Amino acid sequence: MTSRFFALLLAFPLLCPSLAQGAEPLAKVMVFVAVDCPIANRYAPELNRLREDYVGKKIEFLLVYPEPSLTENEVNQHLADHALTLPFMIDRRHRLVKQAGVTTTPEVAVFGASDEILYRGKIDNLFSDYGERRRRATETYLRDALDAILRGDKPAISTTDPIGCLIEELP
Amino acid sequence: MKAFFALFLLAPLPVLADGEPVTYHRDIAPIIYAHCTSCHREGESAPFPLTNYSEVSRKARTIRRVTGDRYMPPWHANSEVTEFLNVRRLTAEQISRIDRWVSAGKPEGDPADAPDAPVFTEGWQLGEPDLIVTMAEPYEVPADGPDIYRNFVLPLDLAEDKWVKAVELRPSARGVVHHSLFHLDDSGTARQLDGKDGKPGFSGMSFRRSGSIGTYVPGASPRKLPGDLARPLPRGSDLVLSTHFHPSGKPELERTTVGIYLTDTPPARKLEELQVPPAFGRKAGIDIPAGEANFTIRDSFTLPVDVEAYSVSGHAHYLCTTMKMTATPPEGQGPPRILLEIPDWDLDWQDTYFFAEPLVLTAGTVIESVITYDNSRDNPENPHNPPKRVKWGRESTDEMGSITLAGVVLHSDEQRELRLSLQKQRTELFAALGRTLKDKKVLARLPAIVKRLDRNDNGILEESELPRRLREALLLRLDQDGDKSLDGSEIERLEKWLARIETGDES
Ligand code: HEC
Repeated sequence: MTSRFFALLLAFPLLCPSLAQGAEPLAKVMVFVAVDCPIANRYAPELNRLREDYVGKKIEFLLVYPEPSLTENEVNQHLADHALTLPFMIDRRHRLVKQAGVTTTPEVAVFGASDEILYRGKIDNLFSDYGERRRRATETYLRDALDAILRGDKPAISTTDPIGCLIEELP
Repeated sequence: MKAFFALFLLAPLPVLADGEPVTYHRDIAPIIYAHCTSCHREGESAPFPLTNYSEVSRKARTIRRVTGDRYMPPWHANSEVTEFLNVRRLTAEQISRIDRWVSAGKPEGDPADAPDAPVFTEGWQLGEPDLIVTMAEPYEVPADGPDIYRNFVLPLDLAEDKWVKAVELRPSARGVVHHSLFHLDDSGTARQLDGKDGKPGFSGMSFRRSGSIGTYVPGASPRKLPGDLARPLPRGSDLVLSTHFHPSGKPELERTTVGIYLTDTPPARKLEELQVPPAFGRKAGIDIPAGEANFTIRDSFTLPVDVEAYSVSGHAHYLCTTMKMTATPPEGQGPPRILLEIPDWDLDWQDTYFFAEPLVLTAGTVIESVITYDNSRDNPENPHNPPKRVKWGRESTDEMGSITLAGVVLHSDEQRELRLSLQKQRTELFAALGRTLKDKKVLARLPAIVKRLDRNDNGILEESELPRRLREALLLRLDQDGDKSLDGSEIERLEKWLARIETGDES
């Protein structure tokens, strides 16, 4: 219930940019995921770490499941299995998919205070292709973008090509 | 209804070459059932099921992408130059059919057109195994972090020697078990290492392998060895599973069960494994400078006798990029043929490739392996960042490299000749052994040394009595009858050999 509420709160100013002002977070991060995409699932521990590391710093996270047929029960099961502690939303009509311009799970979109997109793409470079994993990521695109925003700068890299499961078009 | 028809007429019709529209039930389901469902179904290794229209259409765009770049179905050997059994590879036509279906908006079509869904055997694939063993305790695979290689010891407690026809592995967490090698250990060294760090099993390959009874990779169904072939499983051996895990994002508990299919009768001809280069490339000069993008090792072996080959498989770690094994028959006996070509080596898919028909390779045929490595920063799988010099070693961050051809001698009276040649293949190994024994002045003290080592005082040096570091090489060089011990005449051979080294007649 609370996560639903949070999601609506977050989505509201996105839809009505004129209302976004004042005590707003510095950035909002939408993380597009799926319950059964292996690359997206691999990121569950990193997503929890990201939230811990940034949440006190006026950066907000929202997990978005862009799948029309998904039920809330399935999502709750997914969150429990992966010990995910982020608020979520099921984007059945792909409103957020369009707004963020994403194509893939996992893919992130970082919105600035006036809802401009500051970064979109990979979380990091752990995967360079399907089945090609590094031992550890050597580029941390999302963290770098958020750190730049916290410093008042623009992210040096604003887009990267995501890798994972492609989001299906709505029927 | 009318509206539906109108839409249908407006949409560009997805068509096959002969003008027919592409539909799921008629055109796509046969591909999925034949090439995907074996792994993509409940209880199997793949991350989601692909068994019906809704499951396939939920993942259609991803399916188009991964089939288009041939990531799926996983298959790494070039099956155009060598004919293998159970080739998991789509034709260009199948790939483009999937592409056209997705572009056309994934039309479902008429369920009446669908082929019968595949039927899979529940439970043990080859019937009830003769021996079933399970890990004593589950091992926890963490949610996160690099891949894990872990060995688990499963005591078999066999009172007699047996022969293995097949092995089936049943992981409890299939999604994270990427592959597993079934080693044997008859020295008890693995048992000693087991659980030392407080968790089930142990890491590293520092136990003494005394044999192997097969491997598991996702999607490969267990098969019985053909004819009377079987692998030796000597009494007293422990089974050591060397399992490679991929963390999946959530913690998983793995408790593997293994089913072993046995026979009491030894095969007439022994299944030989010709490794080129031998010993996983230990002496093949694997020493790759940091940053080197194209490092090559090659080695060859000439068959002393006619051999009937069944299968071929490669082994290397993350830096390896390509592998190739070629057989060049003696002058005038036909052109060289490629036995295995892996243009894009992937440690995750260490399949054993079975030839479509057993291959007869005549005496004098040269078997050559060429293996390449990329130790540059551009290789995303490079475990070192920045790149480091990498040498042969047992850890996954070291390298190995060899291709194994498995087969039998064509004429059963030529077994010994093949064995001897395989031993000679290890001359370098023996040269090093010879130097060590010479440096230690073993010859002068041989009787005293034998007396000291022979703890049970039976005049025979059993494997367990030999110095651990030299065991493998000593037995390979001297154990003529293959009984894993050195009897009087074999010790005499050692003496003669050392004498020749002393006089400089042999290195
Ligand atoms: C031999 C077993 C096997 C077969 C056959 C197989 N797959 Fe897979 N597939 C897997 C495994 C295992 C994974 C998970 C890989 C990983 O996460 O490392 C996978 C992953 C996938 C993914 C997700 C890719 C990603 O990482 O997002 C898709 C899509 C897929 N398979 C489609 C197919 C299709 C389509 C076929 C048939 C044409 C097929 N697979 C055949 C084992 C198989």
